Amino acid sequence: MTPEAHGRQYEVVLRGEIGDHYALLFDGMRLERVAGTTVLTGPLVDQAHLHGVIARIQELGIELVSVNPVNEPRSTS
Amino acid sequence: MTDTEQAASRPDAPILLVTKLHAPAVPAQAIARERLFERLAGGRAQRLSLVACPPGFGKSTLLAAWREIEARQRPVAWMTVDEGDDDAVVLWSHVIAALCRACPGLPHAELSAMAASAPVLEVVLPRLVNELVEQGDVALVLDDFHRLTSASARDGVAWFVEHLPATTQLVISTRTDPALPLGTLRARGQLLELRADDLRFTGPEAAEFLTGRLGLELEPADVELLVARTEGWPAGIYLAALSLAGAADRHALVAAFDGTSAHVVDYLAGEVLAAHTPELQTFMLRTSVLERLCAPLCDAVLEDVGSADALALLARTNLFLVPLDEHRRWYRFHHLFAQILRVELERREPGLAPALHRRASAWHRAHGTTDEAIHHAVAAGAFAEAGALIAETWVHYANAGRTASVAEWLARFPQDLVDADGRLLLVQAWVAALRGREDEMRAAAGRARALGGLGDGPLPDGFVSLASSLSVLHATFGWGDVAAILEHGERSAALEDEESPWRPVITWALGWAHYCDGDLAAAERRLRETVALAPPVDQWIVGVAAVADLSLIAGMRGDRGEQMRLALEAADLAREVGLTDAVEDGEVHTALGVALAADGRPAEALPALEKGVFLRRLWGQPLDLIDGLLGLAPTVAAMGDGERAAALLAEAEALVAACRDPGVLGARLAAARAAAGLEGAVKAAPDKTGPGAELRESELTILRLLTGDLTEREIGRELYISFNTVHTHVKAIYRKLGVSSRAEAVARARERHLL
Repeated sequence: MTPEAHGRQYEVVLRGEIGDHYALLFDGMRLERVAGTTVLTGPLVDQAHLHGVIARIQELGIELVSVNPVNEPRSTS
Repeated sequence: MTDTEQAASRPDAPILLVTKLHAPAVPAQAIARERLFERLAGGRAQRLSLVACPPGFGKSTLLAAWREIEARQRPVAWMTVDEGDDDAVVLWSHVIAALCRACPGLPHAELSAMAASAPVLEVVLPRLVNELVEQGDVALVLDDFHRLTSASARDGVAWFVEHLPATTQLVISTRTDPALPLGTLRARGQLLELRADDLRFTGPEAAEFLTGRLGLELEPADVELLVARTEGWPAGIYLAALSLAGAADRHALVAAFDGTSAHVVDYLAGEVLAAHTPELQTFMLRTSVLERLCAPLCDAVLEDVGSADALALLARTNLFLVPLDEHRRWYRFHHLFAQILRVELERREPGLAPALHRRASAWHRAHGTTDEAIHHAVAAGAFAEAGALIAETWVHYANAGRTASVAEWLARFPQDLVDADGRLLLVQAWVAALRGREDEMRAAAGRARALGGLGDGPLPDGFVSLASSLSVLHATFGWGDVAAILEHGERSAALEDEESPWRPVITWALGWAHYCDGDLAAAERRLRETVALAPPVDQWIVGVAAVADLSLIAGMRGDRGEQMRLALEAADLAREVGLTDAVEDGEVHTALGVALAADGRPAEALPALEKGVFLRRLWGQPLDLIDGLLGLAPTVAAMGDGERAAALLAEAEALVAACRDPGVLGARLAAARAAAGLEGAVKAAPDKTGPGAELRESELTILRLLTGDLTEREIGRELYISFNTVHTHVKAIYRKLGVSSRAEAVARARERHLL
């Protein structure tokens, strides 16, 4: 595994606001609700991990808005 | 009928899950979506009808309802795809079973036996398409097509779409666009598409459902609010209906739902669960780990009784529990609902899921549904149990042609666990060999050997030890090395006694190697043993092959009557046990063709010989393919195509040259050239070990002993040299004399006054 692939930060935006307990489906990712959307932020180990997260979102009938790599890890306030 | 059935007459055939062939029952509450039925019926004129949208849009319910109406006019076959269908054998066995259920005129036994053994793209699908042409109007629904992910399975479907007769309508439902040439079909006007926006509930549809079917008596304005809030998503509307059914003030609930920014699923999941008793909530949450549910399985998973009542109650009141058969024995949760339940289970009872999976695995193991037992064991992280199951049952799956399934199970294991388990490495090696993958086989076998503990045994698949499994593996798959087969075969024969289920595999391997080596007497002895030993232990692949090989030998001895009798016997036996089109038994066709050719019937021989080469090419063993090519070439020449005959022999020559030890196949190649009248086409080998070279003194000594009754092993004892040395000399003798059998060697030596 290449070093940059390991734990690369992603931001996954979902349509609608979902509860904190759904975070366990996306283990290791932070879940925030922002104005009618839900933003998951955290490390995705590799492509298989990313596709697994997307599949779980689809299985729940949740609409995926965007997936973006985040260059700078967000500072925790 | 039970929920499983034997797929074919072949022993150890994979069991079909009959529940996959049932369209889900259409719930009484479902509305008739006429506008969509009409469009689906219009798909009759198209090559492919595609229903593509995310979960919860009512794809399966729509198609099941359409099927009920359409089945009044023409047969409609149904199959629910699942992950197991990534194995092309499983996929097409089920498609064939589905079509045969709908169309009793199709030759079920024949097609299903073929699906389990014959190459899919080359044999099974063309044959199926031909049968469908005869059949006339029929529709085939493949539900949940997105669960198919393997390239081989998809390639088969792509071919099928391209070659279907116009009278067959293929309907595919999927969450993701399938890897089929949709762009081309669309451009040609051959694609009917129903997508998410088509399946959304319209206002009137929602009103009919909520008020007409469920009797919820909502105000029109509330219906409108619900449609707007869920954007017509059927699952959302249905979740809302479930919570509305138990609400005192329905308008207030709709208003609250409309007033929250929470996601539809998240908001309604809580409401829906809260509408059930705590006992029923627990029942749903804990059984959500199951792919399919029946009362005894639920009882086992919950370690409780009373699941039958809970299932019956839910089936009456909850559209998300879908019955899978008309007896209402098996059910499944709607995928979307199951996902919601699993999230909630993890929240309420964290860490419980693995224990539930483990119990489900135990139940399936006890009931013989090994696929699901392995699935749940892996989901539970119980790799030791999963590994034990695979080590025990892989042979049955391999015999049924399902090597891809076994490979897929192992692929779900963490690699370090496989690498630490000699049994699993051996299974991996066997499966790789059966799929014609030499490098993979050698890599896995090498890791098993490096791991050590080779004396461990007996193994659940019937070997006395890991060392024995390795040895039989190398004897069965020689990859062009006759001496290696003999060496490993003799070692194997010393390890596995007469009672072993592997004994006939070993005796066949030895018989086959002696045949390739020109020692016809030894070959016949081993092959006759195989014929006697194979049937009681269901080792039909080698049982059939041995009869075919004996026919080839009778032909070499010039016994035409026996040759033909055995060739026909092999063909009959292969048909009886469903191995007619099996890549493992291509020699059946070669033997029949060679017998027919010897009988002066080249036109009848040709198709059999062609098929022999075709199957043996797919099998991937060079010695087998050379044998097939040598059988085919003379008849091709006799039919007047000298150019192709020369090309076939050139291919055989290249294969012989690449073999580590081709036995006497090189000499037989020269003989076949002569028989085809092509010997002028190549220069005689000038080297002093090739045909025509002089025999050395040691070889002459052995040649003299070959005139007697001693076996090669006994000659070794007589001369105080090893069996291998004798064997090397014998091969040199055959090569130099240009013969392929002991009898021929003696005759040729007498002609040349060497004796």
